[in-house]
Amino acid sequence: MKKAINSIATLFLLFMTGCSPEKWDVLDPKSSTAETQLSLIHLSIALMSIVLITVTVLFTFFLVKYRKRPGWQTETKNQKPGDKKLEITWTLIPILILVILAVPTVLDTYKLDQETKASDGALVVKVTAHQFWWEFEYPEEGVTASETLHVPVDKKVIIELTSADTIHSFWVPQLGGKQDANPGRKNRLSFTPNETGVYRGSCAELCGRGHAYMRFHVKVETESEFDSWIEGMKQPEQANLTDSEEKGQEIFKNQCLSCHGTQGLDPKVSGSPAPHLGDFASQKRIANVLPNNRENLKKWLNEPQKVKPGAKMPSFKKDFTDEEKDELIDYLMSLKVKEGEK
Amino acid sequence: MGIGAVVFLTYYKKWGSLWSYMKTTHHSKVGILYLSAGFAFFLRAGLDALIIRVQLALPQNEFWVFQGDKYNQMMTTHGTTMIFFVAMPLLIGLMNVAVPLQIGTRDLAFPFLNALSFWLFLAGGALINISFVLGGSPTAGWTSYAPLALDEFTPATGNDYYSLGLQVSGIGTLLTAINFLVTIINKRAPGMKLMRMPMFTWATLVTSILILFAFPALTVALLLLMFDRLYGTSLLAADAGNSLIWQHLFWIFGHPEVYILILPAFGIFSDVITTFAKKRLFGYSSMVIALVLIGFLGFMVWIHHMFTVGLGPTSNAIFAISTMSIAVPTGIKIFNWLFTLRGGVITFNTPMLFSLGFIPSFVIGGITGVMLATVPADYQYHDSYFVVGHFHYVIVGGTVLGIFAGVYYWWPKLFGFMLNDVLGKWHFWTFLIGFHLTFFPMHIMGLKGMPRRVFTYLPEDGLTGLNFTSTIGAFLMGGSMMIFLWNVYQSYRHSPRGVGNDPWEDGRTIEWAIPSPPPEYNFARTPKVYSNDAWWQAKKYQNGRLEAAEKLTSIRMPRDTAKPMLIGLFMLIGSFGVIVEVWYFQLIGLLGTIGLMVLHSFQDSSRKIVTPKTHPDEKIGGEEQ
Ligand code: HEM
Ligand SMILES: [Cu+2]
Repeated sequence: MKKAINSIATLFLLFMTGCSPEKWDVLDPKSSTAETQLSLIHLSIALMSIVLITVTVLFTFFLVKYRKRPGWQTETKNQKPGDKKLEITWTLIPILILVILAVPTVLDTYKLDQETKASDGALVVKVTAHQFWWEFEYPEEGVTASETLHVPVDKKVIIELTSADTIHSFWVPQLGGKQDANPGRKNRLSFTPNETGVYRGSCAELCGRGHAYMRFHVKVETESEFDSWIEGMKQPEQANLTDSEEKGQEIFKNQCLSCHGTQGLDPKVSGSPAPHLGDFASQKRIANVLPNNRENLKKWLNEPQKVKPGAKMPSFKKDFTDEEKDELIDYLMSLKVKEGEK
Repeated sequence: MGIGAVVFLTYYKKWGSLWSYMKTTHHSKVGILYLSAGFAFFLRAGLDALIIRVQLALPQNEFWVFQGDKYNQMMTTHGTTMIFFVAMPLLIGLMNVAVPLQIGTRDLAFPFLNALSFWLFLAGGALINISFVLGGSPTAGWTSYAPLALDEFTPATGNDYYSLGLQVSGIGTLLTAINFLVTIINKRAPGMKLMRMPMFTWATLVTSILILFAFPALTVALLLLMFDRLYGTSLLAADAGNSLIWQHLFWIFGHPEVYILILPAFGIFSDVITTFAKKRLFGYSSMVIALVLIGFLGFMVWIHHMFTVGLGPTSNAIFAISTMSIAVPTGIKIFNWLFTLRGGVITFNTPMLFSLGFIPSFVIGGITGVMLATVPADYQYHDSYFVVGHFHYVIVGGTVLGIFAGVYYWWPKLFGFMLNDVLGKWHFWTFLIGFHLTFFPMHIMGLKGMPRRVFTYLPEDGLTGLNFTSTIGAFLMGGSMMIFLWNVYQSYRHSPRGVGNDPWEDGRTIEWAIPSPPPEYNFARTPKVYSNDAWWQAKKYQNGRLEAAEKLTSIRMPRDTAKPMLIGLFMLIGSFGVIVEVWYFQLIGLLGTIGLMVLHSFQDSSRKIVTPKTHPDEKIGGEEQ
């Protein structure tokens, strides 16, 4: 019996929380910026709880005390038009509460803005939002990536945001609140991650059909991991491809390269019409939807529209034979950053 | 539903009375038209909400076809309809029903215009609904941001229907506001000074002023959108034009809009709570001041919808503070209501339950509103499910509860019978519980990272349980609406008729001094008013009679006419012609509309009611009978 209850409870917990270690919880900040924001959230919840509790207590008390009971009074003599003292009280106290909240709000607003302006040795990443994927360009390093934004821990990151089409919004709850990516304009956002790990991010502004799947990951790693990833991204692909991979590469050159880059064939530092596939094999998901494996990759090649509504990739169902698809998949699965030597 | 209506009308031989409604210009009949149309749209938009919630019940769910664009259609239609074709018309319906009675007048200042407003609103609503059948509904959200809403990114015609539908119904709303302004300023009974008006009338006055200033911004925004979409300009495009102009114009309209939705509800709660606590309103004058202040501040805060746009810290800080300051007058109102309850004798019937349920629910919506104003924290909340939770707490926990309170409260005045109180209580409790179950979890979903307007999420997001709970709540609310419908039907069949002037027995304002339903001219003789809560005072100190301000004379009332309906029809045809780009539809619409207007200006639209009889029940009189 006890066991049954236990397992139901566990199931329930799983149901309520999901079961992955990597989260995107505002309440579990992993950067200076997100911590500032959370502390304001806490302060406002505390202050507002005072209001809610006061109202609820008075409300309940009055309802119980003055409810009409059978055989009780049917009328009240209490027809006071108001009470200046009371009314002034509940004007002044809220003002006081709001001042307590407004001061840190204004200070933090300026503080966060200052941080995005001071570049002091920060890592600058140019982020361009596209319908429905993210492009991450490291201008200093000369590297472009998609799907996963790599950043070193304990170092300030400045995100320079813009959009290639509609308005999107960049949001990684655990690293910091959102900023809009407006076409034709630039916005900045900054954070200093303080713990390694993988954090989930998403687009928060309705940007069209595929909005729900416009997600990405942020991988916060140690400085040396980060450096070797950058190195790896700059290396051309290794030459010793297997036969089938080689054939796949050929197909890729003819059919896919017009939109997608890979380090070996086209490092494309910016302005790609489609995600850069240089590190494709280490992606968690295909197009942020399907878990990354061969079977799903085939599904994606056959029917990208069905997997991710609105995706701007044509279907290759009829263009390739099954064999060709396998070769192409072999090639794609070989696209993994070989860590550079350090 | 359409078929059901036809069967009902034929079975009960009601086609004639339908026709009489279609050409009515009488305020209470127009009110009933607004209420019925608003309620029909409520069912439609509620169904959309259920579809949304089913699709979101489980991660990567594939309910029917509602992924991607189809989901965006449902979500957009739901939001647009709820705001423009449910909440507003239901409130305007109640204003039509109650305001003339509360201020002791025979009708609105411009009855013809009033009917026209209704038909324009219906034409706009029809356009949005037609789109669903022809080429798909709009998809860019009720806020329809450029450049997504432009045809570069959304070539389907849905957003054309959005821009024209809202334009046409917006004209109707603007006319209504002018009508109520003039009516309330000019047509009050003798002695009813501004500071003696019932709170619902006050709220209507302030709301009308808000509409007068807010809607032109929407008109301009929609015109820009229409030009970009239909005539190839690029005013709102990102490169050639400026897409932020849309956001500014939309929110300069849109923020006051949410106060347009809540202030009338505040008015209803004030009237209902004083009635059923049997006390006069605590702090009447501070209530009025708070109302005006909220209305004014409503125009000063639109940037709080744009904190993440990147307008700079100074603008964000200023608008954060102005937003927070709205909490002060709102707080004054909440505490005044609480202290109206103190020392009262509280009766818990259905309208009162809806009003009491409002207080804690709305306070939750209010405090999350203040939380949203703290800029850096809003960078986290913005466009997440936290916001979806917040605004439903305000709109459903405020406006919709207010509408139900008003409907139950004035129902007997409209139809001469009461709605069943037991079913009413079932309706209330299922609605309230369903409401909290649906929307409370949304705050947590937002804090757990769920963005707004997504058609799905992943299993590992940890959002399944919360979403599932929310869906259950939504179905409970759906069920509660069925109870309401059942209540209307049951009461129509079985409730005793002829409930008398003051069926609640505790009425305070002068609409309870005349029979239910009132004769066409409302007051055979206009009453004189000496105080707040004039009818309550009359019951206590004047033998239950209001003093008459005039002798019985013959009365002029507006004539019935089908012209408003026909103008609405021509506007519908014309707008449809613009959307599908068929020139002769446009021409027919234009000529029809102008022709009828010209025709109308040559006709005398009033008729005479020769000396009305005083109704035996009418409690207005005095020395001479
Ligand atoms: C049965 C009750 C309701 C349910 C279950 C419900 C559910 C929802 C859900 C789940 C969304 C979010 C859609 C998304 O972000 O993808 C939404 C949006 C919205 N709802 Fe409701 N809702 C209900 C009633 C109302 C009412 C009564 C109103 C107003 C009078 C309203 C106004 C809105 C608006 C304005 C939006 C935003 C649409 C947009 O983002 O464009 N809802 N609703
Ligand atoms: Cu996006």
